[in-house]
Amino acid sequence: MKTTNPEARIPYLSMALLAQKVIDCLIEFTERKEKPITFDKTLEEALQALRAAEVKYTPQAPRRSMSALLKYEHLLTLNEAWSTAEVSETAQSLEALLKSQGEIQERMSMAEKVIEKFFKLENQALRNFDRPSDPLPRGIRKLCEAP
Amino acid sequence: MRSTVEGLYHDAAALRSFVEHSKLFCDEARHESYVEPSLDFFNHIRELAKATVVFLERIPAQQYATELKIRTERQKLVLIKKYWTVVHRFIKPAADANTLRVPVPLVDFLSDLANTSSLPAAKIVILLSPELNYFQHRHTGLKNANLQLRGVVLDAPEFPDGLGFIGIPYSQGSNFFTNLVIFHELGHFFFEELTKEKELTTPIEAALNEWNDFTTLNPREQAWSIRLLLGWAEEIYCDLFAIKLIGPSYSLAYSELLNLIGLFEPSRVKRFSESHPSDACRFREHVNQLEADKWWPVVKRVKSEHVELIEELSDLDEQKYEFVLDEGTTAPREFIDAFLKVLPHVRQEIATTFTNITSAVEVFEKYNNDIQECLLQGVVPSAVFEEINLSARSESIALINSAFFFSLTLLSTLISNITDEKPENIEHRSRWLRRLEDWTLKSLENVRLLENQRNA
Repeated sequence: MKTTNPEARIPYLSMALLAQKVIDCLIEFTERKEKPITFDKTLEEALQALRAAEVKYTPQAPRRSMSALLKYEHLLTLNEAWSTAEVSETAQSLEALLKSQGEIQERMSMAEKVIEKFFKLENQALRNFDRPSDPLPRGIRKLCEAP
Repeated sequence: MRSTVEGLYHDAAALRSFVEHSKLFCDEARHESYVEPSLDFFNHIRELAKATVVFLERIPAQQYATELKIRTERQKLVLIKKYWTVVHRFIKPAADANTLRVPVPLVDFLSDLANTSSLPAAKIVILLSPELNYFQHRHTGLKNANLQLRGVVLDAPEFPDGLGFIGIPYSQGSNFFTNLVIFHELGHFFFEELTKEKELTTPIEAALNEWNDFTTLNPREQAWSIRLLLGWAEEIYCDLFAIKLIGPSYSLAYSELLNLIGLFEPSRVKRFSESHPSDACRFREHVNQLEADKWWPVVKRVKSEHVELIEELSDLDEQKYEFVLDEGTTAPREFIDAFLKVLPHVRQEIATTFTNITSAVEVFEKYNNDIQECLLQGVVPSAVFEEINLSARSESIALINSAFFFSLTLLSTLISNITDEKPENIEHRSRWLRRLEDWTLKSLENVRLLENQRNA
């Protein structure tokens, strides 16, 4: 029967690996001052995931597709690593980097900031991978306590 | 603390040792006999080890002009090591599961059934687990992590297609009837492989959205609720999947397993947990599926505690179901109400999974007496099918169910027929139950051979 087993933690590892791919691309960009081949694809994947994480489901706006970051584990890690404002800011930075907006120096310093953000995310994902189970979300706990 | 190149080299060397020692188990497995999927898995691990070592040996050739670069490389080593820690958990249990320790005819039957039931190709690696429980290890999680890993270790091999993992307790390797619960575990494999999660997410969201409090939750809390109902739906899907494949013997094996691990407390059977729907709800769905497949009238005629239990639990009023969180708090009933609305969709997903298989109940009804007569005489019951040209699938299902019912109702008669053996003697009973299981396994082997002969 399915019970809590170590494989249940793998989504966190996938997330950490995805964050590492973003970091790799951005480091290569800052070192060579040009986009590596995988730059657009990797940043696009991360950007879509961040955008999807901002969406809330309601009967009027049902979720359209399952994205890489829509899993509970991914939303939890994002919430723990970054504030809501940081999610939006990072998404905007990724968008700007993808569109090559602004001067090269400006983009390099933007890339460095994004690298630090993704380091933080990666470390949170690794911490979550190592912990045996996830805490109960506060809203769910409140619902349980309601009369 | 600053990251240094020296530290990076140290980490790389330590990781190399870890990988090479893990791979040794796969190399040693060359001296044992395994089912095909295990060999595929060992090959994959050997290739992964090779790619990891190549990656590590390239490290000194790179330029480390900034501390950031060193830090990134060290972080990559952490990630690779974490990936290997996951893989590491599979290697030893897979190496332990050689053909002397697993019920090979059952594993073959499992693969054959999957392949003849219009399901995608499946290669199941059996793992011998130290836990007294059965597991399907989430292969898609590993597959996704492997995909991301290949973005870091560029030469890493792709995770083999259709490869899945089922863990069985090491002590139950040769125990046939209880091992039938692996068909539920096979259901988890196909639930992932056929992306049923995607199909069920929409009805789950719709059901939860009817609950006002749900719409006030933040995205993470909503995702938690969806994941909860998806987990319950997956369990029901896997139960129905197993019943579709092998009929009522799955329900019997499941109730046997629960007795074995002591979960059948009266207050617990109505209780949903964070990982499972209640047993009462599960058995209600079992009975629905058995009715749809015309098995239930057959099952009902069998006078045994197992059947009584299934009937009693399936009849429990669903208003009595409750959801208790792992920490002991009772959660709102609305989660269960939403889930009950999802159940028809789960049944629908089962129907779309099996579009062209027929229930083997007719074959069972026609040959049950003959099979049980063989068993009473101590004859391997595949003899019944020697001159009859049916599919190995329906013959096997008839054999398994007939033998399981025999174990519940006629084992005492069999033992009484044997000089100096007594049904009330536990040692004798255990010995003859074991024999019965051996005859059933042998039968499966025989009908498989017969079909291969016919096809040749």
